[in-house]
Amino acid sequence: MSAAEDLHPATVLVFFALVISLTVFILHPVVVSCSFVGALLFSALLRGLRATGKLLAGLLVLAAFAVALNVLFAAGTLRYGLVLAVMLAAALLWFSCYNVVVTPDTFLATVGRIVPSLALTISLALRFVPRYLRQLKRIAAAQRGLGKEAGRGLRARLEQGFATLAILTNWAFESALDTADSMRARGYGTGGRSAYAPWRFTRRDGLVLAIILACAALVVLSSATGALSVRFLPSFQMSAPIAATVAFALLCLLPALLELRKELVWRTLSSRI
Amino acid sequence: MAYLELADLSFSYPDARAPALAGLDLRIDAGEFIVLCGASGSGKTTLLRQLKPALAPAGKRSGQLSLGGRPLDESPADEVGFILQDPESQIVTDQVWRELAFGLENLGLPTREIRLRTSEMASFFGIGEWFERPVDALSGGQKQLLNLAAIMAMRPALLLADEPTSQLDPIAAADFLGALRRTCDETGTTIIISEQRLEEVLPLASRVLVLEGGRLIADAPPAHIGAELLRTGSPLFAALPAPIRLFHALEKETASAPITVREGRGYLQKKLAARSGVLGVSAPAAEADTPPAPLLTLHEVYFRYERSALDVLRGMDLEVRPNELCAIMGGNAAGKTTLLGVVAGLLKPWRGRVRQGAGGAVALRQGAGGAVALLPQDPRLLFTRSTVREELEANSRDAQQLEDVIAQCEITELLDRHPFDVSGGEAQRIALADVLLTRPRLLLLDEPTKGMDAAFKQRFAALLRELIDQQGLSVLMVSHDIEFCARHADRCCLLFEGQITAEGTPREFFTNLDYYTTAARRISRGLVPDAITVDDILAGVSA
Repeated sequence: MSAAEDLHPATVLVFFALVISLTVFILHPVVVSCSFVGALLFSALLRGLRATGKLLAGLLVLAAFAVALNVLFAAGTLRYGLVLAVMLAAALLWFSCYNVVVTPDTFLATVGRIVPSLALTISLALRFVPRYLRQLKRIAAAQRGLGKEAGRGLRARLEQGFATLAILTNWAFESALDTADSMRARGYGTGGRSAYAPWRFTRRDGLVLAIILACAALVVLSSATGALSVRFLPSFQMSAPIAATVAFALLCLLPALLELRKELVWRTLSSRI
Repeated sequence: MAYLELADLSFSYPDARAPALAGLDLRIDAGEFIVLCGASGSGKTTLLRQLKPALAPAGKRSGQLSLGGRPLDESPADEVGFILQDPESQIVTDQVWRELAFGLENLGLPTREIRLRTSEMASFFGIGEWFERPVDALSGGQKQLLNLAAIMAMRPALLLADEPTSQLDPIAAADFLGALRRTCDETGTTIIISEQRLEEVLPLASRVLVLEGGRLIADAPPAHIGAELLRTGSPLFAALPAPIRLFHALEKETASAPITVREGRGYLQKKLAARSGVLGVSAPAAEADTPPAPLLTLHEVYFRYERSALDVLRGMDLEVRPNELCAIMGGNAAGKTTLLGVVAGLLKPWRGRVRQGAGGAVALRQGAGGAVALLPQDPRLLFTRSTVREELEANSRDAQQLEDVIAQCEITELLDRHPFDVSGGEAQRIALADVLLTRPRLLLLDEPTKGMDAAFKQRFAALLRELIDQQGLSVLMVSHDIEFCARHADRCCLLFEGQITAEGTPREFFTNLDYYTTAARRISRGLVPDAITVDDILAGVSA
């Protein structure tokens, strides 16, 4: 259980959206380094050192490739290539953490608050795909049980394929009618639909979200005013005010800190038991 | 004033010759548990759908319908709940919690209210454990329970259920009916449920309604429904639970009939105590012939679906003999469908042998024109064409045979219909014709009686008997339907943990069991030796 699962999915989504876009768009040596370290720590805490190590090996190859490509062909500098590579690695690490923490279900519920009909459609579709696949298997087995195995030739295979598809289509239509009945029987389309999500937005969520937004705002402000800036050509120049650096570092380390805090609480609790 | 009132209700589908419902007058009080029965096509579904305006089919309706003193059409969306037959296709979303919330979202309820109601329902129906699971991880019985909970979350005052247990195995069906009974008892919800299998549901009913050809031919409490049906001479009497049939065969006056096995047993005990002497019944002795050489033998067969999975069949031994109806019974996940797959050659065992045609019998070969054919549980998996005629012609190479099979399966009337546009029993017959056209020597049936009404089961059994006796087929069926197997099988086997743990003629088989056996056997155990059907008991009592 990750500490992120104790938070409201909206808080988690906002965090990932901000940290990834800041990393990608500001493309600043200090920013990408902080981001990389934060993502690496979070990943290590989330799924262990071994799995993170494996991921890192893959990312290293990718990063080296990016640097080489940039230096050789884009006539860029080695520094720029390095920053680009670290940015890439950090963003991918964040994405991989996102995949662990945010299930399609939590994502859907958050989207549902904004566009309810879209969330319902996705939920329906999520159910259809595995059902169709299972039904296809059943049809194939039933046809073989009748001795209607696809022949050797292309023609025979095509014929059998079309037959299977015909059955699937009929079945899908039939079952969709049932689903539609079931939806109408439960008042779908009578107007005024609300969207439900089982998560509560707690005071803790408020606090965490406030920290996230404050840190991000400081970084954005600092970047917009030019205080936080970098120049690679013609000569390398970089400025990074302490406040913005600390704010972004805090933002990136936040998930790892929350994770550590939870771990610590459980350690002390179980040592008392 | 009754809660639900129907006055002279008639309904006709567009272009139909006869009305689907004709002149129904009915009053139902709040809190009643009504069981609606009748053969397929008698108008049960049509009636139930008339009571739920959102699902009412197009057609011509006349007469009055009122609910709680108002015209039914004006009732709010959450007043009437409706459960459909298929547990799978009526689920809308992919997660259990989302499904529970679906109806409440449609009502536009605020998050707090939805949280309250979903958690309340999860607690009431004991589904808290799978609250956060995806719907696909649930069994058929759990899915139907989820459908019930999702509807009850909307707090309907009237709950309609259209054969909700027809797709479930007996244990899941009993669980579902138990949940329905609790709903009625503990919340006072009025329930109208249509059913084919009456043994389990009749004891729960406060009243039984019987439809025949769109007319209400009987309306009585369960203890009196037998007398009513006898009076009208309805063939549905044969579908009533064993205790009721036993009672009316022995008693001429119309008193309250026993409904449950316990009551039936009490009645039989009293009946026999009044007579002096010991019952001298003995059933006909089993023939002691040596069994003929088997058509197919499974020897020490082991099968698993994946290398890392557990064995589904574990050292399975089975013989299928020529000209017999062999029934394999057993609970869920005992490996019944897997066994059929192995026999049909669809699944390859990793150890053991499937030997075919030992003893010089006809070699059974898989493939086109093969001698083993499998009729799947869902007959619609077979239909590839857009009319029944095309469907059958595609599988036939011989016009004479085609004609014979069509006559045999009684599907002449259906030839120009779309194979998806027929009732469940009809689809079963068309699929059977499809299968017979491949000229099998061995016919494999997967739960063939699921969803069949009592009258059609009789005809289906007669058809199987004809195929076996006159055309020399062998039939291997897997089934949950104890009563059907007891009456019609030549040999019964119990499958448990991937092995056959008991086998014998129905009489040997069912008299050896005390729980997993026919209602007649449970009623007569220790009273009438060797009786496994109501007819056996009657023969014993009158001897």
